[in-house]
Amino acid sequence: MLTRLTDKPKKTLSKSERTIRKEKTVSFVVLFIVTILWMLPLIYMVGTSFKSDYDLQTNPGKLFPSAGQWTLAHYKSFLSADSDAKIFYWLGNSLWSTLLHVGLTVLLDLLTAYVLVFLNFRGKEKFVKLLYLWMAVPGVIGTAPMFAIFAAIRNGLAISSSAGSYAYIFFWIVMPGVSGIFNMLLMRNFFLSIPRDIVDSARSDGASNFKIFTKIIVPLARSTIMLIVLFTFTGSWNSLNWPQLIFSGEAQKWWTVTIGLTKFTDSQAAAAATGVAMATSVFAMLPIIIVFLFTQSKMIDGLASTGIKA
Amino acid sequence: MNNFELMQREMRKSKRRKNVVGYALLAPYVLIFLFFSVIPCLMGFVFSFMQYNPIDSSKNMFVGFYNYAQLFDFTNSVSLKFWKSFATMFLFDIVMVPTLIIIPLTLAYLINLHPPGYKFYRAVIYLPSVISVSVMGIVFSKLFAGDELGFFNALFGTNIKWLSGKPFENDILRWVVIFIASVWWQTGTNFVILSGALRNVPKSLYEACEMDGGSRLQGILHVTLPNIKSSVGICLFNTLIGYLGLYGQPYVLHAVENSIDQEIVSPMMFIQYYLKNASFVNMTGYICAAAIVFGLIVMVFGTIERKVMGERKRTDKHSAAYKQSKQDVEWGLSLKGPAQDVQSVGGANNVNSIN
Amino acid sequence: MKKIKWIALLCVTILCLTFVFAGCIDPNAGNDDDDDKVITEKWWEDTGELSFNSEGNVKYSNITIKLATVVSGEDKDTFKSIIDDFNREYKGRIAIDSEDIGQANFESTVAQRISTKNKAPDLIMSHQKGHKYFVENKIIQPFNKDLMEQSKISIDMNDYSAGLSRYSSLGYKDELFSIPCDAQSMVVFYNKTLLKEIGKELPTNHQELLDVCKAFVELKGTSPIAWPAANQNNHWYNYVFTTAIMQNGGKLYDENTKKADWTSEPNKTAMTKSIQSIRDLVDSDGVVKYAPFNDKTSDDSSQLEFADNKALFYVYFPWRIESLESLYKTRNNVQDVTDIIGTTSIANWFAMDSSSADAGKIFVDSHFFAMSKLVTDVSKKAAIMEFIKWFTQRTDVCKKWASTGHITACKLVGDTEEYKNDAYCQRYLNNFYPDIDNLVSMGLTSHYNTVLSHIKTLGYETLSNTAADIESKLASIQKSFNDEIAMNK
Repeated sequence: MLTRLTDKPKKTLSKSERTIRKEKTVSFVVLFIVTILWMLPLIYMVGTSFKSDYDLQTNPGKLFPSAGQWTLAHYKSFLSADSDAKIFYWLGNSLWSTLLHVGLTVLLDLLTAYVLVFLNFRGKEKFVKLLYLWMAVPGVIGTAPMFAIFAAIRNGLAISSSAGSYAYIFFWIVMPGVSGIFNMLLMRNFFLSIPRDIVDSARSDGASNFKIFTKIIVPLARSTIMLIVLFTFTGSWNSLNWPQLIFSGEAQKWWTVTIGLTKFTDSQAAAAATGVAMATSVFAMLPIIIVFLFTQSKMIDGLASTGIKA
Repeated sequence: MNNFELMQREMRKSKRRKNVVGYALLAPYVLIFLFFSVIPCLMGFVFSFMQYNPIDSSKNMFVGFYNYAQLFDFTNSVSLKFWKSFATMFLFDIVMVPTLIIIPLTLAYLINLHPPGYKFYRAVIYLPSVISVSVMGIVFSKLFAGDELGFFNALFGTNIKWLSGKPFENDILRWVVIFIASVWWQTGTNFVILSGALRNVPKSLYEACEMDGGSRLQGILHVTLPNIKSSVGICLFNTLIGYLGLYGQPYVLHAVENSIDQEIVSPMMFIQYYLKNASFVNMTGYICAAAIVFGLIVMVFGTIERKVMGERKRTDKHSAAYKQSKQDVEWGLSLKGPAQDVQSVGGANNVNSIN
Repeated sequence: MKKIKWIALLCVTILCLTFVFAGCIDPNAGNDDDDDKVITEKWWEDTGELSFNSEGNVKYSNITIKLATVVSGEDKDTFKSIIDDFNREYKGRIAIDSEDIGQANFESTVAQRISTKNKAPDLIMSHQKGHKYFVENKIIQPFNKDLMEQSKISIDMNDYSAGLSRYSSLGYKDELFSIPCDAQSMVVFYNKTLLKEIGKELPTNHQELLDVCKAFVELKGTSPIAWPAANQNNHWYNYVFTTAIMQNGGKLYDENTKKADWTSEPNKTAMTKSIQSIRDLVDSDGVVKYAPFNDKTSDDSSQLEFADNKALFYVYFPWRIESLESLYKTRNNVQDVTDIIGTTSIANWFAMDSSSADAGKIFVDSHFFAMSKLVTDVSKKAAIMEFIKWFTQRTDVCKKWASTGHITACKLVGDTEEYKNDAYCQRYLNNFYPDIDNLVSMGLTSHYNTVLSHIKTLGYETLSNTAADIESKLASIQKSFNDEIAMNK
């Protein structure tokens, strides 16, 4: 009975509720259209990768292959032994180097941020200040000399084996950027927002730094870690400039995916092979899309809500 | 030795131990940082004062300000290319950067109204941000191919040479394509950050505004915008820095008929062009000088932006620390941006991960 | 604050000092460019001794030579099979381990590898245009004439094409740095039936070419010349446009300064004439141009036009022969095209003055052999020379290599009946390159990138807009060319 009294009569909504309804419809319509447009390039890419060459020539304006023109030929062509199935090597290279890079970055950031927040030593604040200042220095200044250092050390080490060269080159792919300042400061700021009493009480209970680190801090930092993981992963995976410099002249099998795919945009002859280009791109996108699909909800929520405690 | 002195000595010892522990644990970071970030930059600084040939070291020599003099010599066609590339880049940035704030903001606002299926839309809009610039280049160069085989040409039955640099002056069509591609590719990140920021505006403020009789529009102006200011500031910073270092998009969507002038449309492309090609080894010192000048300009822009969007001075230390950490956390949210940070040493050139 | 003051003072001092030094140094001092230099200090070594067998020839025992070659396209397989032939013939003595590196970054890669001694090749086979760059950066060493005598493996430049062998010293007096091997350029296929139809003969000079084109347009209404799409890649600029410049006596750069000198006579007239000769073709009267410029979207569409009998001439690289012939057979349902498709060259096509000595020049890319500076053992050096002699002077090898469209640069082979009567040469190569002494290539500049990129700009600016003022374009692009060269010394 009481509930009935409070039931809102269906017909009359309050002013704000009406506006909200209106807005929701508008937003729905707009977003729906936007999403369709947004999906267009990717649908085109997937659809074209299955189009036969004949269909590509005669029906270029269709998103999907015409009846009977579906083919796996393009996928087969870059997977076949003829072209050495390089895409797999590229994916492999990108995958392991990116994962290593992400892992090292996260570990280093956790460690360093912990040291900067929970340990006390002389010069701590000055160091942080220096980092803030250095953030303003754009990295482009270092590219050419870094390349010179890369070549000089290589010469000095006189690496002769293939494996050695490979390890050396990928050392220079994985390591730069691990000490990225923003990531570390982000972690530090998160740690700063952890209430000191937790740590203090653990300390007074006799817990060692290591225990505090592993049992308390790290679990708390999960969302920040995910953030760093997502961005470092994409940044490393998509990195173009620096790998382009140090891979030039090396065996193609050593390339990362992003560099490998520039073959399709660089020369016109390769660019003309539409079907294969699309198939290779779809294939190259798969790992990162899978990662994305699995983590997107968590990531986006994490992105949106981390740290901002009103 | 009385107790007090003993205690003091103990304290000093433990302090020293603490210092040692601190330094030891900090060492990995410091070493990597020094080796990969600091030393190359310092070396770049040194090289810019030299004529440096990485292949034939017998040609190395110290030349003082010669490289900088060449760089600022506007009768030198090579240096002119460098400065002209700023022009094309700035023009593009003036259009691009605000767009990459406004469009994501609008979309974020709409998404926050939680229309049916919003989770799907959110994922779709964010998705292009994770693919690499080469994939984006391949797709869009096919979509906008200049002959009848291009998707849009086939669809509309036209024969517009989108990526050809002609027919319109100054490559306009190609920039339109780059614009569309960049919007598609990079709206996602800013979108997500701004939607988070919007969500965190306390509802109570909206209600208060409504109770005061304010319209929706006034609500937006007086409640929403001021409260997301710091997030917008961050997005702006990263997009700006990222687009000052524009490289990936014009590179993969290069002009089909390109004369050299059309290839170098941004300072980063200038630097990469002369660095990649071994014929230009003797110009290494000059390129380092160009990189430093470019870096300084980027720093100036960054500082201006921070000042403009920055918050007022805080009063007491505690709230200052809190605010600082809050700001920096939000800053870090837009993590991709930190051009300085990412994989490649030429951080600013990592447009792929940039807003 | 005190600290900051000190730091500031320090910075200012450093700046002042560098300023002081800036005026004193000219980085370009001491860089002379004349082509008759003498080597004062060697950057290579000779070690070891030759051993001889009972017949007085050099004995090789299991010497492996790492070869870096720029051959990486459609001719790659034939090249590999030639290497296999050599390895079979010299089994137990010399083995060639060949690796192909694309032209796009050949010079960077090889220079880097040799200078860092990492996976460095012993022998280089690459386009002539990059060799001056190699020698200027001390990447390659000359072939030792004394060693040649000792080992009885002599390679005499008089036996090679005059046009190409003049580059072999790379500007160092009496030294032999690079040995020419072959040449290739754009060549012409023509439709014999259509030519008869319009009642004309093969053109022997520029005016006749225009007449033939005109007659073709009148009769057929389509462009007679199908050549590479200028907007697709750089081939058209690198071969056709440069040939036009050579045939009109133009100089891409001044031999002494290595800078472009396009604005003073007689080069100015020569360059202007070259541009005009192309304009005659791409901007001819009427709606149908004799040849397209930037209209095509792919090289394949040119080929298709010829196969569909819409074009009279098809200009492209010789290795398209098979695909062209099979495409023609398919499109026209014929079995044999020997009487339909003929071959000729671009010699004399662009020369405005048909009596000039330059009229028959063809701009080519030529493969040259050079030896890395890191090779020290004299037996290895002898082995390298033996391989080069085998590759360039053995008629059977040259015939096999010719089947991919590369004409031999060695007159010892090229003048033999066996070579000339080889089926392939008879049908194709002899017509593609009528006179190998008339072949020209990039020459002795270490800045070929600058040359080619600016030639491309020049061609693009003056030909995509045929009303453009040639003189001002020559001046402005020349300035850009020279500034870049000046910075890159």
